[in-house]
Amino acid sequence: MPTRLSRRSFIKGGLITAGALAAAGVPSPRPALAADAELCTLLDLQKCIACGACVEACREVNEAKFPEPEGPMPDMIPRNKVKISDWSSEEKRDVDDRLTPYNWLFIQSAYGEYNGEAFEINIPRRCMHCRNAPCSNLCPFGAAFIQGDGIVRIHPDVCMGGAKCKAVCPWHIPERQSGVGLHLDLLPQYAGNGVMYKCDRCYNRLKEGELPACIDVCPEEVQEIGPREEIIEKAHKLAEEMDGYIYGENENGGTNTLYVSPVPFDVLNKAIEKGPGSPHLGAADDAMASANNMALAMAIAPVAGVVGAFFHFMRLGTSDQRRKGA
Amino acid sequence: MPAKTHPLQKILYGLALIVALFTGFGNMPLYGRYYIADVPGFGWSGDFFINVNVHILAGSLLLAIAVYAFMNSILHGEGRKQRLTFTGRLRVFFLVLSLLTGILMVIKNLPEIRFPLEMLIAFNFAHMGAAVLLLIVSLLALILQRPWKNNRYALRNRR
Repeated sequence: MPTRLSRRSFIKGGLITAGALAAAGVPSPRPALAADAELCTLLDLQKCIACGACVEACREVNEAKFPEPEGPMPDMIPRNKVKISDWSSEEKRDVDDRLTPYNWLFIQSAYGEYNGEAFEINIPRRCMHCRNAPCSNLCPFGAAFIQGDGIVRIHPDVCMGGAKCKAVCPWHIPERQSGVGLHLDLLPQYAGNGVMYKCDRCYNRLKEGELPACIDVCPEEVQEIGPREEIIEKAHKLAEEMDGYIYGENENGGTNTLYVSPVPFDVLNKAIEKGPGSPHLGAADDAMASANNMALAMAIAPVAGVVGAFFHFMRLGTSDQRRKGA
Repeated sequence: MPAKTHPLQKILYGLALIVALFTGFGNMPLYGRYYIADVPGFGWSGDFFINVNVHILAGSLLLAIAVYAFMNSILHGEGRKQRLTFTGRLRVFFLVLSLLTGILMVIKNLPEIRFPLEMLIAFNFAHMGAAVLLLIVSLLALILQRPWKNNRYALRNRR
C-alpha cells in the first residue's frame, strides 16, 4: 500500500510535498519486475453457478475499508443538482444485487437462447481494472491511481466524491457514499460529495501473498489471477476450447479482467439487466483515445513556436537588409 | 529599438489563456453542478472528454506562444534591451509551471505511462495552484495595466 494519508496530514503537508515531488517526478514505463508484474484475471463464465460466495467474501474482507459516515449528511448546494448518496443504513448496506459503496462485486445473470439452445450464464461484475484507466487519468485530484501491478484504486483520503470517475468510466463502476472524506474538511456544502468506492482487487491481500477474496473462496474456481501475458494466453486457449468469446482484452483499450463465455457478449448484453450499479457488457471504445490524439498537438506546439520565431527573425533580417540597401 | 509584440500574438495568448483556464476549472465536476453547462452554448463544458480535449488544445497553443516568445527574445537579443517587470516575471513563472505540469499530465494519459499516487497528487495540485495564481496575477496586471517588459534604456534615463 502506498503511504497512508490522513485527511489532515494531506491538507497540511500536501502543498509542500507537491513542490518537492513535482521537481523529482519523471514518468516511467511500467516496471518489468516480476514482483510488480501487471496482473490480470480470467473468469471462465461456464463455471459460475451464482452461489454468491465471492460476493460475501468480498464484503467480509473489505469491511474495514467501507465508509462510516458520522453525523448528519451535509446540506448540499445546490440541492436540486447535488444529490446525497447514502448507502450506510443497515438495510442499504445489505444490498448485494448491484454495485454500491458497500458491495464492490455482484453477480449478473443472463438467460436466453443462442444457436437454438437455452443458456444461463452468470457473470461476476466489478471494476475491470483498465490498463489506461480514464478514472485515474481524468481524476482532477489524483485520487484514482494505477499501481505497478495494474490494480486501479481510489484513495479514500484524497477522493472528493465528485463522481467524475464514474462519469468517464465506460462501465460507470465507482459508487459514491456521501458524508465522508476530505471534502468535509474543506467546503462540505459547495465542493465534493463524499468518496467513490469500487473493487481494489484486494491489493492488501495480494501484497501479503494471498489471493483476492473472490478468487480464494470460489468453490467452482471460476477465476484465476496471474501475469497479463500468461492470462491472455490462457483466455485464448479456453475460448478456443469452448468455441467461445472473450470480453475485456480490447475493450476500453484493454483491461485486466478477461471474461470467457460460450455465448457472445452482445447476446449476453441484451439478456442482462442494466442500469445504476449494473454495468453493461457491450462495446467499449478506448475512452482515452481522443485525449491522447490531442497529445500530438502538444508535441507539435514547441516545434511550431521555434519555427515561427526563426521565420519571424529571418523575415525581419531580410526587411532590415532591404531597408539598409534602400 | 526592441521588437514590439505583434497584436495577433497578444490576442492568441489571451484567447488561449481564457479557454485553458475555463476548461481547466471544467476538469473538476463544477460546471454540471453550478449550471454553467445549462447555459445555452456551454453544454459541451459539462462533457469531461470534450473539456479535456479543448483544454489540451488551448494548452498546446499557449505552449507554442510561450516557446515563440522565448525564442524571439533570444534571437532578437531582447535581454539586453528589455527586462521583465515584476508581474511579468510572476506570469512567466506560473505560466511555465502550469505548462510543465500540464505536459506531464498529458504524458501520464498515454498508455503504458503510470505515475505513483503521490506524484499524481503533486502534479495535479501544482498544476491547479500555478494556474490559479497565473489567473490572479494576470487579472491584477490587466487591471493595473502592468506590462510584461520594460525598456532598459527608458529605465536608465528615468533614473
